[in-house]
Amino acid sequence: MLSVTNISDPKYSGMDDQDLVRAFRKDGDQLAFSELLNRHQNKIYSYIYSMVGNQETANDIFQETFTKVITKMDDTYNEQGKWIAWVMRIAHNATIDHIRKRKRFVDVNSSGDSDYDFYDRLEDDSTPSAQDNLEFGEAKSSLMKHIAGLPKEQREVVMLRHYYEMSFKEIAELTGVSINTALGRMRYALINLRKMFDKQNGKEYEYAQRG
Amino acid sequence: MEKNTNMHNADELCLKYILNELDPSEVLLVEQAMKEDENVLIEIESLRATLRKLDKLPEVSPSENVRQKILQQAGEYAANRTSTRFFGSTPAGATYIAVAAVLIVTLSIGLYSYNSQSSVADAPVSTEVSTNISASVTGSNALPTLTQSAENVQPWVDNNNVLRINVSNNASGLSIISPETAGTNPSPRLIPIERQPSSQFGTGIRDLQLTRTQY
Repeated sequence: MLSVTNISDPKYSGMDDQDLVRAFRKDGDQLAFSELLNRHQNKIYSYIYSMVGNQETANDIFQETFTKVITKMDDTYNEQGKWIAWVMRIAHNATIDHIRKRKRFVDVNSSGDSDYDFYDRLEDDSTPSAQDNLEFGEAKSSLMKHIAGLPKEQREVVMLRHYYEMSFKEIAELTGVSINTALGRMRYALINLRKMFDKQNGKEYEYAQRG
Repeated sequence: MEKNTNMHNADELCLKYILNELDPSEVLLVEQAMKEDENVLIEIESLRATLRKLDKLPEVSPSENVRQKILQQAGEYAANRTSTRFFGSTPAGATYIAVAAVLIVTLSIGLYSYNSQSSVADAPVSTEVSTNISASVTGSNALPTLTQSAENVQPWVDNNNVLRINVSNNASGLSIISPETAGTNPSPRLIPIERQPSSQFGTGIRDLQLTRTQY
C-alpha cells in the first residue's frame, strides 16, 4: 500500500492540478492524488470546520467529500473546469446537507416547543469547544468564534471568499443566489464582524483600565 | 426610498472596491467619492480593516487518520479501476462493449449464412459430374438414356433454377446443350453450343434432372 506522507515530491509539486488529476485518472497514480490532497486539504477542511464548528463532524464530512471525489471523478468531473472548484462544490453540498439534516433532527425533537429558536441552538453547537480553543490559540480562536457567530449564509460567503478567493459570481453560482445577494451577505458579515471586534476591543480596554 | 437605494448601491460599491471587484471606471468613481466625502473614506477603511483581520483566520488540518483512510480509498479505487479498465469499469464503457459484442455476433451469423447460401448455389454447377451418357439414338424422336457410373449418388434438385439440357444429334455426334449454364459456369461435361431451332429436331428439348456425385 502507498506510504503516505505530507512531504511533497518535487516531481509532483511542480505539476498543476489538471496534470495531477489526469495522472490519477489515467494511470492511477496515487502520489498525484496525494499531492492534490496535500495541496488543498487545509482549505477544504477549514471551510467545512468553520461551517459546522466541530472537528469530529468536519472529519466525517471531509471524508465523505473525498469519497465522492474519488468515485465520481471519472463520471462527473469535466477537465475543462477547475478541479478545486468542483471539489469545493461537493464539500459545500455535503456541509449544507449535514446542516439541513441537523436542522430537521432538531426540528423534530423540538416540535411543540413554540419558543424554540433553531438558530440559537445551531450557533451554540457551532461554537468551538474548549479543546479547540487551546488548539488554535487565543487570538485565532476568538476570530473563529466571531466567524461561528455569523449566520450560516454570511459565514459561507466569507469562508468561500477567504479560503478560495472565489469571485462573487462563483460564490453566487455555488450557493444558488444572485451576485447582489452574495455581495450583500458579505457586506453584512463584515459589518457584524466589525461590531464583534469593537465589542471585544471594548471589553479588553475595560480589563486594561481595571488592571 | 431613493436615498436608501442610492446608499445601498454606494455601500455595495465600497465593498466591491475593497474586494477588487470593480471595473476601472467604477474604481475612479469610488476614489473620487472618497476624496469628496469623508464618510465614504471612513466606511471603506473600516471595512478594509475588518477584512484584513480575516487574514489571520487559521487553516485547520484534517486528522491524520482521515487522511490515511482517504489515500487508502484512492489507492484501492485506482487499483480496482486498472484491473477492470479493459472490460469497461464505467457504465458507458460496459455499454460500448455490449454493443460491440452484439455487432460482432450479428456480423458473424450474417457472414456464416451468406457463405452457406453461396456454397449451396455454386456446388451443383461447379461439381464435376461424372456422368456417362450412352445413348442409342435411332431417330430424332428417340430419348437418350443416361447411365450413372458413380457409386454414391444423391439426387440434387434446384427448384429455383431447373437445369435444362438439350440433347441433339448433329454432325459430331451426341451433344448436351445447356443454355442456362452457358457462359456462367460451364462444366467440361456440359458443352455450351448455339441453340438450334427445335423444329429441326422435333421434340429435341428435354427437361432432365442431374445427379451429383459424392466424393
